[in-house]
Amino acid sequence: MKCNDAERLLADRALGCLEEERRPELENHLKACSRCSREAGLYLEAARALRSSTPEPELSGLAARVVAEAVSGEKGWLRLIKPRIPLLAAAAAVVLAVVTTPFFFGNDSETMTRLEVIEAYAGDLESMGLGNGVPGYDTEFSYENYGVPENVTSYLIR
Amino acid sequence: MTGIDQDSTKRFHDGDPEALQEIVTHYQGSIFGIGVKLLGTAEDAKDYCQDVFVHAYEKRRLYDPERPFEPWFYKLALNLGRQRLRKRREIPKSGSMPVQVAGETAEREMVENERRARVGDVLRKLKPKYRECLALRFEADMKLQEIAQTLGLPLGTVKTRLRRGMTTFKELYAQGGGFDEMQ
Repeated sequence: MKCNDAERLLADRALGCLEEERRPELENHLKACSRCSREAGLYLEAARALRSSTPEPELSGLAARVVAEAVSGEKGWLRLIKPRIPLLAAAAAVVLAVVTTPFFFGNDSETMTRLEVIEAYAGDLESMGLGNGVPGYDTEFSYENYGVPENVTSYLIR
Repeated sequence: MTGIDQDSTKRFHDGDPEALQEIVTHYQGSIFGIGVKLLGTAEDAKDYCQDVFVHAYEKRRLYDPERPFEPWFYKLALNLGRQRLRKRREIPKSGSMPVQVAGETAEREMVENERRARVGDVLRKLKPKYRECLALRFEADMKLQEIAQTLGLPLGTVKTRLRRGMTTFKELYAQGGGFDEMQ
C-alpha cells in the first residue's frame, strides 16, 4: 500500500467508517511506515477533538420551554380563527341572501325586496359582531368586510 | 444513530405535546452539538436548538409517520442552520464558544474552553458542506448511508466530503497548535 492510499483510509478510520476488508492492509502499512503511523495518531486525535468539542449543554428545561412555545403558537392561531367562525358563517348567510333573493322573493311590491331581507339578517349579524367580547373587535366591525356592497351598507347604516 | 420509537413519532405527527417533549429530550444533545459545529457558539446553538424543535412541531404534518423520523428531522435542522448562516453571511465571531461547564475546576474549565475554542475556530474555516457532514457523523452519530439520505446526496459525495472535511480539519487543527497538548 502506498502512503497516499493509506492517508485516505486513515481519514475513514478516524471517521469510524473504514471498510473492514481494508483494515488488515492498513494496519500492516502502519507497522511498516512511521510517517503514516504518526499521521494515524493525529487523525485519531482530531476525531477525538471533534467528538468532545461539544460542551455539556445547559439545556435543562428546554423540553418544557419548547412545548410551551410550540403549543402556545398553535393556540395563537386557533385564537385568531375560532371567534370568527360563527361571525363568518353569519356573514356567509347574508351574502347568500343577497345572491339568492331575486330568485326566491322577486322584486314586486307584495314580496320582500333584497334590501329588506338583508336588513332582516343585519340585526343578527351586527349583534354577533358587537357582542362577542373579543377586544378590539367592536371597532373593526364593518359590513363591507362580509361582502355587503357599499350601496347596501349605506342603506343599512341610514 | 439510535432513533426514537415509531409510536412517539406518530403521536408527534398527531400533535401530542408529550411526544414533542420526548423528542426534545431524545435529540436535544445532538441538535445542540450540530448547532455548535455549524454556528460556532454555545449561545447561538442554544437558541438554534429551541428553534429547531418548535419549527419541527409547526411542520410536523409534512413528516410521513410511516417513514424514518431522523432523515426528515435532521434535514429540517440543517436547513434552519443554513438559513442562520446565510443571515449571518458567515461572519466569524472572535472569541467564540464561551461555555460554562458546571462542576469542573476553574483550571480544567479554562483548558477545556481553550480546546473547544480551537476546534470551533478550525470548524468555522471549513466549508459549510464539510461542517454539515462532520456534524451529522459526530453529533447525530449517523452512518454514511443515513447522512446521504438526510442530505439527499449520493453516497460517494458524502464519503468525499467527510474525508476532505476530516483531512482539512486535522491539518488546520495541527497548524493552530491543537495537537501540542498531546506531545
